[in-house]
Amino acid sequence: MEVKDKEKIAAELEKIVGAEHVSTAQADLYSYSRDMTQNKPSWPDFVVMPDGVEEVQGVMRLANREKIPVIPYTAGASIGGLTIPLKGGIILDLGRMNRLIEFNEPDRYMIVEPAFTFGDLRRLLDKEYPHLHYGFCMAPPASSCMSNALLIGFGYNSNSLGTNADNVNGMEVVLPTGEVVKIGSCAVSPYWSNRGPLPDLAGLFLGWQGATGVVTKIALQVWPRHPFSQTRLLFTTGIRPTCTLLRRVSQTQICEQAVAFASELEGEWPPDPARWAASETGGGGQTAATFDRPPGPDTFSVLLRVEVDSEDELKAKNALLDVFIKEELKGTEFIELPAQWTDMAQFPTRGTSEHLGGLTWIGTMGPVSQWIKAMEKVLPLFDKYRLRRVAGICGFRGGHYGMLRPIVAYNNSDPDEVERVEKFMQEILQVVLDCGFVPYKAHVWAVEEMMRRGDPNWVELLTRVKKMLDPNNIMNPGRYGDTRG
Amino acid sequence: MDVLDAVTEWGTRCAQCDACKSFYRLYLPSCPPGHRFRFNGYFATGKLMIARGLKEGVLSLEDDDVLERLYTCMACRACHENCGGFPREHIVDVIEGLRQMAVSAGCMLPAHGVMIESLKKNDNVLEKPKEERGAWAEGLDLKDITTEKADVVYRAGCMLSFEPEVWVVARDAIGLLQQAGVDVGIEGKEENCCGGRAYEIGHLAELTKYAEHNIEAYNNAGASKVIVSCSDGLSHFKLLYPQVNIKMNFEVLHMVEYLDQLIKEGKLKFTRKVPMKVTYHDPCHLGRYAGIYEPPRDILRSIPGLELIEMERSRQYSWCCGAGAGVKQAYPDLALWTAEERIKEAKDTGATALVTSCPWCERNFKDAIKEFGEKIEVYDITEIARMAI
Repeated sequence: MEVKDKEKIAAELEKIVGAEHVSTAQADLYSYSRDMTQNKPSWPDFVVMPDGVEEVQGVMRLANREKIPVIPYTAGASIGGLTIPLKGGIILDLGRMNRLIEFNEPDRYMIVEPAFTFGDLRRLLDKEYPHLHYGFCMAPPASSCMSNALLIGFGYNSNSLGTNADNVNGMEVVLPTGEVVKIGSCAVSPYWSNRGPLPDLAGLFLGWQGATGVVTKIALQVWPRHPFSQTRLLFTTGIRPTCTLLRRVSQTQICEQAVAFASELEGEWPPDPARWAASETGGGGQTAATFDRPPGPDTFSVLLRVEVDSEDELKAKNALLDVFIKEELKGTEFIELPAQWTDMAQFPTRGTSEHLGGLTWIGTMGPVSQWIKAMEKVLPLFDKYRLRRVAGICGFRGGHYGMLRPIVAYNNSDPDEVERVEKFMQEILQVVLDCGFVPYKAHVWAVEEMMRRGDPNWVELLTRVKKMLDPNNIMNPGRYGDTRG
Repeated sequence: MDVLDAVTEWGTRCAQCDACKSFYRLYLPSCPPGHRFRFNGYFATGKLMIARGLKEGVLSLEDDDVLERLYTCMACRACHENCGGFPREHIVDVIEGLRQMAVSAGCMLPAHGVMIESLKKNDNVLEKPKEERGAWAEGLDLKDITTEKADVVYRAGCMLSFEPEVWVVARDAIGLLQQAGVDVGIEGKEENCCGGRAYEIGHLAELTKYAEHNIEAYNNAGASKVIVSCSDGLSHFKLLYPQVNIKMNFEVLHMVEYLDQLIKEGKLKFTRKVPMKVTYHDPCHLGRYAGIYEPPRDILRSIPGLELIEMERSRQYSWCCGAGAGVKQAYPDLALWTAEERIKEAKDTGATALVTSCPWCERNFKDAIKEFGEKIEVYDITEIARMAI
């Protein structure tokens, strides 16, 4: 969308949020035009930083009147290009809205603003609620708890808790047309303790990539922190036995987290644990994603994390895990390192994947029964494009479904590597969709493909919902519900 | 390879993960201009993006907004502590490289132009007449190392030389050194700027000129040590001066390092109680640049009656005072705001005094106290130590 009369619009925005919270400086716009992925940059016209619901409403009303796109933004770290303003417009940087509104300890939820980060949450829990925990994820500390939940992000406890979207109790949303609405029990009671049993309108905003409104408050569940947490680390060989082990562990629900990463381990067997630790998820010591894999077994690192309240419980869970490992990995080569006590306070972690400058993925969720088939197709694609194999699987909600996440940390300044990554991503998308996995935090071209492949009535409904909520199509246009141009 | 080529890879390999925006593991704000103005362009990641944008030709150094993002940085290196990515230890190098490009292209901030003119005319960036440089030492009857030999040279630096309100720091430093039996001399009005501030704002040639002059002067003086009270001065001598490839035949120490040594060698003893509750501010150039955190704390802990309480953002996670890299001159409001944030943090500890070991920090804190009406004392560590003698 072409923004006419930018100076006049800027002046009006300044009246709403204050002059120092509006930027049309190229030096700022450039930064918001791109992210860590290979997605094509696109410049916004304004960056606006509101503080408070009224200011957000003011911006939305102006945007609607002038038909200017609005892209809600917290950290811009979705790894999906989700805050790149495809059609220009206003980046609504919610960085000033970073408060904890309420921490309801007895009912185990917190209400936070958009820019309340994982780092903020870590501080809060350590200082005030050390007996409680949250589904921290692999995102850096500056990432937003709200954005992670809204984008159906997962956390380290997702095998027991599900995604962080599953743990949303309610929201306050400014609609594209400027009204403020409450979602969940808070719509009818002073408490934000549950989403149901009302008709679940949260689905109008979860997973929509900011295309249906600006969430200004969200209630997120917090969970008990068990006194003991132990991680078992194995290096395994073979796609089939590894995936089978992981499915079994997930579905028995004895681990809060069960994840396997196809990792390169430098193509060696047996692996050097110290070098694995340095190369974890493709960051650390690597200087490039390019890797010509020597012949060898398909290798994985498997982390199984239990959280328990007593030593007896730990013993019992470990005994079960011993059985699973023995049975599912029978006849294969694997190594188990000594179990480590997990320091839960280490989360959120500073990313290692960001080391190379570029980071992209097709993170997906799908049937755990298809992990084997998918991995058998996904891993050779890394080799085809001469990229380090980094692909993770983990179970969600007792293995009812799971994650499959091919991810590439790449050298942004190497054009040849960037080109291979772009091609790889396009091909990976087709493979994962064919295997029944659905991308989350999906790049715009992944959304387009899903809309193309998807049930036409589903597409029609998405489009209808989008139009109902956002009649002028100002909210992050070009994404769900708006891929028809 | 030109500057832009040299910095481009660091700029390109910023993953925009936002780790630079807060102190790792403390999860508290770390970047003063970023925290003040909030837009991405003010944070480290934004400046690395500027490098990319310049290389792509979509941004220009003639754009005032670009210059402002580059020059509101205090070069405090907090971002270096937080960044887990490739640019980690090079972020400030990128910013200073871009500043050099700006200067070469004739894009200089007016306030910095005044600094450079002052440097050229009077060998200091503070617009003070050169002949007043030694006035702080009046009545101390010190050896003049331009005509006599001394084992140790005390270098006051520009701020301590020309700001009467902080002369006491230099005078107390001399008092302590003499108490410890150190054979100390000074250059007096022949002392020159270290050139470091000029370098930070993009004038490489000025640094080279002063580095060459100062190294030669101290080599000729035959001193074994040069002691500085200015943290900026220390880091410039230790980290920038090696660039000119002239051997320094002397050791450069900050006053806190030397004091700590003298105390541990038994040459200086604290006998008087100083019943104060203090908190210590780590100057960026002493801490993050030169890695000196414990000597000042050891000194404070050895003073009888003194209680040292740490701020949460301390050592490598210290919040900047706001004065560095030309910000005090070009963006005085930002410098004062930054200092005020630190003063509030100091007061929150319950301390009645904020102690530091850099005259630029001290000056900026005092200015902020006046500006905002705060009630807390500010001292250099030398002053506190002198109270204990």
